[in-house]
This record gives sequence, C-alpha cells and structure tokens, in this order.
Amino acid sequence: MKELITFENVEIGFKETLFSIPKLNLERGKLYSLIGKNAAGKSTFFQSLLGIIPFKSGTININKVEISSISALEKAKLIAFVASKFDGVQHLYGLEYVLLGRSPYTNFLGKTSENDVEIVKSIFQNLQITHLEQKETLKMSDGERQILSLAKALAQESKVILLDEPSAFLDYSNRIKVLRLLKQIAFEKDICIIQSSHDLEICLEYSTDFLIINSKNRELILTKNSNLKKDFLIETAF
Amino acid sequence: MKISHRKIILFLTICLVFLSFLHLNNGKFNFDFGLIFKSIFNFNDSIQQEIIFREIRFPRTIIAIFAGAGLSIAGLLLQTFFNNPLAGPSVLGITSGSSLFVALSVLSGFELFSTDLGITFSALFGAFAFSLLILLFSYFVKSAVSLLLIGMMLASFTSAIIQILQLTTHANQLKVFTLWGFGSLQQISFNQLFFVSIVFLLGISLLTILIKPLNLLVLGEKQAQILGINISNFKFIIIGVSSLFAGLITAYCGPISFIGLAVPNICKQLFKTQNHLILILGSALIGALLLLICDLIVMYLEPNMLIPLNGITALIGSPIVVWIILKKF
Amino acid sequence: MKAILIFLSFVLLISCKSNSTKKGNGNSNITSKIESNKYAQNFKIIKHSDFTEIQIINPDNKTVEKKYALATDISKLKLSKDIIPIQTPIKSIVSLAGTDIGILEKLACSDKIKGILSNNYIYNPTVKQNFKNNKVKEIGDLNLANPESFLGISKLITYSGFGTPPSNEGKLAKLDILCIPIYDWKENHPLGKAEWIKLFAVLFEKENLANSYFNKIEKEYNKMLELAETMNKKPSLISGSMIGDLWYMPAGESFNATFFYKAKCDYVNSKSKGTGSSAYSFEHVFKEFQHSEFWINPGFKSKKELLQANSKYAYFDAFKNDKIFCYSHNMNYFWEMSAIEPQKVLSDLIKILHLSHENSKYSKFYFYKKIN
Repeated sequence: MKELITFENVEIGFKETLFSIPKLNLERGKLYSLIGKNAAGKSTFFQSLLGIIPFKSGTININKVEISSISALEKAKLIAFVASKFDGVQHLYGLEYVLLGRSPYTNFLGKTSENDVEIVKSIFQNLQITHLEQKETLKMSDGERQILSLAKALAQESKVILLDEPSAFLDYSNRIKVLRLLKQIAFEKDICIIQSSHDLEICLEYSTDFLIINSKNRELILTKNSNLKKDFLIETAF
Repeated sequence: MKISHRKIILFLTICLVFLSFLHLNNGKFNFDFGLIFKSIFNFNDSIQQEIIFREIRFPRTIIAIFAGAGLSIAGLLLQTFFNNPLAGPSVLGITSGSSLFVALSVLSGFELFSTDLGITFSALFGAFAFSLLILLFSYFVKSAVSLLLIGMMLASFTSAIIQILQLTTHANQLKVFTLWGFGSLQQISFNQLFFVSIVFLLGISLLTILIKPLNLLVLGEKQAQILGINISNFKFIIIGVSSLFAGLITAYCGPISFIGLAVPNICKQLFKTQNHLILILGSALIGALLLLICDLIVMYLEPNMLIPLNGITALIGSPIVVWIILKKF
Repeated sequence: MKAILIFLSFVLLISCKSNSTKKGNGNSNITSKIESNKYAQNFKIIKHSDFTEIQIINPDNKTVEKKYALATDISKLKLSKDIIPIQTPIKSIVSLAGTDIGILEKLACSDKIKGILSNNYIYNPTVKQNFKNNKVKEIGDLNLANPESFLGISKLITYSGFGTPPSNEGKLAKLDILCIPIYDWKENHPLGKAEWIKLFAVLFEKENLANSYFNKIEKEYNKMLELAETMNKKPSLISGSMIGDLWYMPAGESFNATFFYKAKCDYVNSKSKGTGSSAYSFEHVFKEFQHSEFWINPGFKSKKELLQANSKYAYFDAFKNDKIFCYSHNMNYFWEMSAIEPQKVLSDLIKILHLSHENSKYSKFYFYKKIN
C-alpha cells in the first residue's frame, strides 16, 4: 500500500477558492514538485495540510485519518515543514536547532533523551554537515541554514515533508545539492516529499512527479516526469 | 544542560546566598546567624534587634530576591513572546496597568479592595488587561519599535489618569497611594511574605510547562505549531505568567524599572543559549543578584545620600538598554 | 535739671527720627512712621500722611519684594514706579494661600472671598456655602490659571510666596489685577504667623479689630507658655512618618519643632539643622526612637490607616500605649485656623504631653485628636 495522502473534492483557499483537487493520491517514496504561478496557492496548500489555516471544503486523509481530526502533536509526527528561509537565531547552535525537531517526541519539559541525540547526530552525518553542529545559526550561510532546516524536518521522523521553495534563496550548486538530497531521502526513508518550486529545469532533471496548479481551470493535476516536457509545464502552470 | 552552564548557575547561586545574607545584615560583614534564626523562627517582640531583622530586613531581602527574579522572568517571557529584545514589563506599559488598577482600587474606598488580597488581585488584573491590550496591538504593528512606543504611550496615558485621580481625591487616601508612584523594597511586611511567596511559587510552577513552548517560539509561532505545540493556548499562559510576576511585584514594590528589560539580555549574553530552562534559571538568579546589589548600594549610600531604588536601577539599566539598541537595531 | 530735660527731649527726638523714614516724593517735611511688628518678620506697614504702605519682605534674602500703597482715594497719590497702589477698603479677594482664609474669618470678611485654590482644601463654612452657590470660584494653581478667569471676580489675589512672582503676573497686571505674595508660612515664631492679620486689616480697613484680636491671643499664648513652664516632665516625642522609603521628621529649627519646645518636651530631632524636615530610614528611626513616649503629627487619621501604610508602626511604644496625636481628622480646619490661633495649638500640645493621660477632663482638644 503506497498511498499516503488522499484528496477528495478539496477546495483550497481561506475566503475564496484558490484551486480545487477533485481526486488525488500521493504516495510514499516519492518526491513531488509543486508547480504554479505566484499567488496560485502553493503556500496556502501547505498551510492547509499543516492545519495552520483551514481549507474550504472536501476531505484530506493522511494514513486514512481525516486531517482535521488529528491533534497538533500527532500531526507533528506525520508532517514536517521547511520554510523557504530561516534567518537564524542568536545563541542558537546547529545541533540545538535540529534537536528542536525532536519536540513531538520529548516530554513536557522538552528534555531530549540519548536516543534523540543519537538520531539527530546520525542525520548530521548522513547529510555530511557535522561541521555545523556547534556553529551559531545566525552566522551560517543561507545554504547551510537550508540544509539544517531540512535536517530538523528529518529529525521529526515524519511520513511527509513539505518544503516551501527550498531553493529560492540558494545558488545553483546548492539548489542541485538540495534537490538531489530530497530525492534520495524520499526513496531511502520511504516517505512523501512535496517541494514547491519555480525552478523548472532542475525539477525536470531530479523530480519524479509533478503537481501542477492548472492556471486555466484552477485544478491541481498530477503528471509523471516521463511524459513531460518543459513547454507543457509552462503552458499549464503559467 | 552543558557543564559550563551548570558551573555558571552554581556560581550565581553561591553569590546569591552570600549577597542575601550580606543584604540581610544591612551590608555589614559581622553575621549573627543565631539572631537571624531566632528572629524568624522563635520571635520575641520585646527585643528590638529581633524586630529589626524580622520586620525590616528579612522582608526587604526576600522581596528583593522575588522582585529581581520575577521581573526578569517576566521580561524574558515577553522578549521571547514578542521576539523583541527591548520588551519588558515596564516598557510595554504592563506595570503601569498594575499601578493604575491598584490606584483605582485603593481610591475606590471599598474596604475589600484595600486588603492585601484586593490590592494583589487588582495589580494582577491590571497587568493582565494591559498585556492583552499590547497583544492586541501586536497584531496590527509589525515593527518591534512601534510596539514599544505603544507601550510607552500606554504608560504615559495611565500616569496621566493617576495624576488626575490624585487631584480629585482626599489627602489621606492619597498618602497610602503615593507609595505606588515609585519602586521600593521596604513597604512589604513580614506577614505579607507568606501570601506573596505562594503567588510567586504558583508562577514558578507554571513556568515548567512553558519551557518547551518558549524554546519553540524562538523559531516563530508557525514553527512552534508545526512542531506540535498548540500555540493559542500557550499564548495566554505566557501572557498570564508574565502578568502574574509583573503584577505581584508592582503590588508590593511599586514600579521597579529596567530590571525586567536588562537582565534577560545580560543572561543571554552570559549563557549564549536559547534553552529557556537555563535562561529562566539564569535570569531569575541574575535579576535577584542585580536588585540585591542595587539595594545594597542604596544601603551603603544611605548615611550620606538618600537615593531611591529606581535611581540606581536606572543608572545601571539605561546603559545596558543603549548597548542592546546599538547591537541589535 | 532743665538741661537734663532738654537733653532727654533731644534724645527722644533723635530716637523718633531713627524710627522714621523720609519720603522723597512730594513734601519732604512729612515724616512716615513704621508700625513695627512684634513677631512677624516678612512684612512691614508704614504709615504715611496720605497713604499706608505695605512692604512684603522676601524671607530668604530679607529684601523688599513688593511695595503697595493703600489709600481710600488713590487718584491723588504721587508714587514712584515700584510701588503699587491699592484702593481700600477692598471689596473682594481671591485667596490662594490657605491660611489667610482663617485670618479673613477673624476679620469677619469670609464673604469677601471670591476665589480659592480648591474646594477640597476648604474648611470655612461661609466659603463652602458660597462655593456651592457658585459665588466662589476654584482657581487651582495660580501659575497655570488663565488671567481672564479673574475678570469680574476680584482685582486682588493673595498667594503663598516662593521668592519668584507667578509667571502670569505681567498679564494679570495688564488686566489691572494685583497679586500679593504671603509669607506667613515662613515665619518662625508662632505669633508671627498670626500677626499677618494686621496686613489684611489694612486692606479691609479693620485695623482696630485686628489689633484687639491679636493682643488677645498674644496674652493667651503667653499664659500657655507660663503654664508649660510649670510642668515637671519633659516627655520624649517623635513626629512625621514614612513617605515612600523615608521618614520625614520636622527639623530642629522648624516651625513645628518650635511649638514642640514651647510645650515642653524632649523632641528627638532637636539637634538637626534647618527649618524644613530631616529624612531618615525606617530602621534608623526605629532603632533610635522606638521607645519615645509620644508621636505627634504622623499625618494619619486612625491606627488602621497607619498600619495600612506600614504595619511596622505597630512596634513603636507610642503606638502600643495609644500616645499618637494628630489633626488629620480635620485637616482643612487645622490648615486654615492653626496659624491664626497659635494659643490653641499650644494649649492642645500641653494637654497632650502633660495632662490628658492623667486626667480625662483635659482630653478635649481644639485641633488634635488621639489616634485610635
């Protein structure tokens, strides 16, 4: 059973409908790229999934459970989110920052166990960023902070990771690095990753599946990489 | 908790114990522990020295510790909550809210409102009401500095109301009331300490459930929610606990300035962490120490110069505020 | 013998001369006579042939601050520029000094008061009644008052002097409204304050009434002094109370302290210098003076109020033994009348310190009350 998130007659939007999802299944082990023009509703889509803002109508199930019936704490174990930018915080160091990703599993004092530290340390090793452990987040580069935010999302050990334009503030080599990493993680950890992006060329190269917000009929459609061309993408989304 | 953090906390605790006894002994080094012990646990009200320890010095020392710790913790909570290093109970107008409601309740003439319970309750209520007002404003202004300006406007607004109240009330109520005009550690009596301690400990115990949300709030409200914290509930607890400390201290000491603003910044600079367990412990210790030191300066200067406590806290606090502004804005 | 008489009359003439000043304006052969005050230092009354001059003396530098020329007909007076004419008797007055309301009461002129500082500080029943009927106006702080608001009320304002004239004096003068600074509160002798009745008497042309009243209270006051001298004990006495973190106690040379000495007691703060107050920490007062017998003028109406302000007051002997006395239960009455009735204040203090606790028939006071 590969299905993880299912949508049925969903209308995304707070006051007015931004786009609709008649029927859609998202699966484990895949990296989805969410494509759409500005203000098409990409961020709103993410926030609806996270439960920060409500959506207009329809049902979204994660693991067969209706999304609005899941508590904040349980949802944190299911969905992780990486914002497009993390500005860093004074006196907050790399290791501490990623350890905050373990919050859904810690007690009410937020005390991390040895197991938590072990999980986080192995994430640092896998991502090859152990040199960031003792670096102050305020003093890191944008690229370092983006990878660190990804590490924090991984520490959540969730089934789904949402990334809001993760490469927007990165240079070319870092963009490729992040995308390659995402694809690898989705496969290895057998989780579902959705990233929104404007970067069609890199997406075409590394992403397997595309979620396109059709600018004409305002519907979200799923397309496979194999039968895709850049022109089609541009035409549909923009 | 890192080893170095533990060492600093241990060091501060030792300093606090020592300075508390020094303060209790009026700044002199010839301790008489037997007398101190007797005055508290085996009090004889015909011995003048025992009265002096029990009624004058002991309450002053204890309230200095409570006020320093409480205001610093309130400042820390507000700074994290509003993500603003210049936030604090007095700059945001929260202590003014307390003062106003204490003034209103004392001047109302109702017996019930002039009791310890009545005054404490009005102070807490005033602090909470003004915190909510600031919270409301924070939705409309995005700039950290604008929020502080609104806080200052709230403060001048309330002081104007208090002045008008003073003009229209009778001399004697006024006399009880003028005590709220300035900060003082000498108004509280031994008998009131019990009640104050209970409210203070209630605040401290509530802090334990706030450590995790505060640590996540450092990343912003949205991130905290994504990491499994129901932020709308904790919002009111954070505001409630900081109001509890600010209100309690204002009720018994009047408005004490700068401590709540300066101490959390000193603490962050010293510990270099965002772990709020350490920051709360550290702020409480540093706040208590700083206020004891300020009050010791008042004591040492007393034979030659009579300086109000707020004069000393401002002398130490205002350069620190300028330093924060130079660093961060 | 004759020579001696001539010599004596010569001496008398000289001494008369030295007691008089020559006026430079107009007829130089007209001499003027200073009506010398017995106790008051801060004003002078000089009788000229065609007018009466009042000089207000600044108590800090002892120079003449203001001069006024009072006459029934001021139109014919030839005056130098620094002397301000006032036509007498005056018909109305704005009284902002407080103590002068008591004086005007004694001169039977309460109904002439048309403006006051604040109704909250008034005891005088006539003034209070007139305020109710909108015949008396609240002025507030003279410096902040709008000059126009005095129009149609009164051409004369008396206020407590502070060495500097009110900021709107110039504007008031253009509207033909005069201000007289009153320095009775700076007089050091209890009878000096009362003697200011003579100044007001000139304004209202009631000098005979004023003189007979003043002579009466002087006599009574001196009788009280003699009575105090017959007392054997000198009980110890503290005064004042905490304001904020400090205990303010009248200084050793203050007006209050003077009264305490006259009533015969051992005032604990007698050695401190100055006429204001000394400030002490609570601990200092408690350590040194816990066992003082009396506590006068804490500024509170009841023991409950005292404890509310500071529960530590309970440890003082005077508190435990019910020997606290104050006038706060009728504060306005004290402020208005105590200056003009110093003999009653002294009588109260003597009763408090020496008589009331031994014989209850002496426990009725004019101004004071035991704090319960």
